[in-house]
Amino acid sequence: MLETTPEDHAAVLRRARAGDTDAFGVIVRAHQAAALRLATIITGDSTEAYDIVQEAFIRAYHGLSGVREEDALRGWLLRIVANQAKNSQRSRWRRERRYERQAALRPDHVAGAEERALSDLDAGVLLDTLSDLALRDREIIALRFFGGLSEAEAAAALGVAPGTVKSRTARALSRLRHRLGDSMEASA
Amino acid sequence: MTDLLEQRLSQLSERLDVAVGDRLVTDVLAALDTPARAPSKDRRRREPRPTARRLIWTVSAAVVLALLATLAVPSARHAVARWLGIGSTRLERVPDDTGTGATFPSPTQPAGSASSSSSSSSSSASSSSSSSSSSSSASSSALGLGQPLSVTEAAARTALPVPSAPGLGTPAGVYVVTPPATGQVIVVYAAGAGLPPTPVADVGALLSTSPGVVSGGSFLKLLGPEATVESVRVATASGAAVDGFWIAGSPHTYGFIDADGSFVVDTLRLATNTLLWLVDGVQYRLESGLSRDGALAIARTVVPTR
Repeated sequence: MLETTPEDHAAVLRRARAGDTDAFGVIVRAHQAAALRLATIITGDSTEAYDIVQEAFIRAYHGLSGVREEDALRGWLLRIVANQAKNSQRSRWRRERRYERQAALRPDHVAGAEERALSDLDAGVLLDTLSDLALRDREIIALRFFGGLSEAEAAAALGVAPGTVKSRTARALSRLRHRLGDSMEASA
Repeated sequence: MTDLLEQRLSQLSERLDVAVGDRLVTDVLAALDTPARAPSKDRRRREPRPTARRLIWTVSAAVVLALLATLAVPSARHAVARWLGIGSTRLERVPDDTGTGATFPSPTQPAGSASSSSSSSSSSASSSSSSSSSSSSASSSALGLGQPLSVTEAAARTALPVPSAPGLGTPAGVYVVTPPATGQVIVVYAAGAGLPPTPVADVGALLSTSPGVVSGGSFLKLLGPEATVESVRVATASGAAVDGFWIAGSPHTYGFIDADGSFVVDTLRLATNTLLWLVDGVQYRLESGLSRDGALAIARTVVPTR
């Protein structure tokens, strides 16, 4: 199982590559949350994200032979998801992209609304502002903060140097910060 | 060094609700098991998933488009409304040119068929020969809530708090209904004594509690095109202030996606002005003819009787 040891991870990947769909199911289950978060941020729509991630996993299954080692699996999967999501965005009508925004937040169980680290309001503002960023900026932020990839993993997934990921991330965050203005600072 | 914005992004990632359980796994494996299911850009268009969930997502995309095209959200506070709701509730708007019943048929319920709604009382008593002729019984019958329960009985049937709003007077009845499978508590208050009339005769307000998360499913609030949505802060009896939504205007249909991904329309609610808020993982809902300020004032008095 992917939840246990690296040896198991490798075995699951080998089985999946050999056509064992149950093993691939283990892979899907292990990576679906990161994939859905990533696609939701890029598309701005959790509904569409579900379809994109489903399609991405299907494509991934047919391309598993291209994954040489388990360590690269996560980045490879998320790159497929990101590409699927970007292609979906590019093919959309612009006005659709503006209005089809949808995501759901988990209830925050921290006692006392005023004590919450990230209020529903802040979350909504942040999601809204993220969705207005350029696709390229959303992609790098989604990979790093919602897909959970390190700079090195994101670099491998994107096929660029780690330094490029670092600079792209910094620029994207700068633009996001500029768009947010004082709203996040004020609520901090 | 991680700055505030990066912290916020990480927190947001943790709060994005992407809990789909095994549904995605099931869908992917089902697709892989389907013969001649090679990847294709047009695959989804050629082979739509014959599942209830497919209907859900199709419906969802359509109504959200309509909602967001018409929902005025000029302020930062309203932005959260665009990104849907609190707890298990999601706010969506029905397009102008489509009726709720016709647009959102349930796999388990014919479109627009309130009489065949999947909502049902958890009370085993469904006798039509009830001797009760009180207005509350008549109203609860109109709402499809089944037989009234005592607070103790209601509490015994669900882990949810049975809410009480002293400002609304003495409850006319307490009910536990499904869905969700774990039940939701509905307290009925009669019209009058400061409660404006509602579309249901003799009923002034419904105060209900339901799980914030319903076994991986989600409630859907299908709003009529004339309804308005406003993000509000709700002061509670404990002194805390929580996020909520004020929905006013035309009647709406209440529905949810169950744990299996099935979309079920629940047409048995009062369907008028509604205040939604979440406390400790429990969603509170007050449906009434009250104004926003009136509903917020009542919410401030709501306490669990158990």
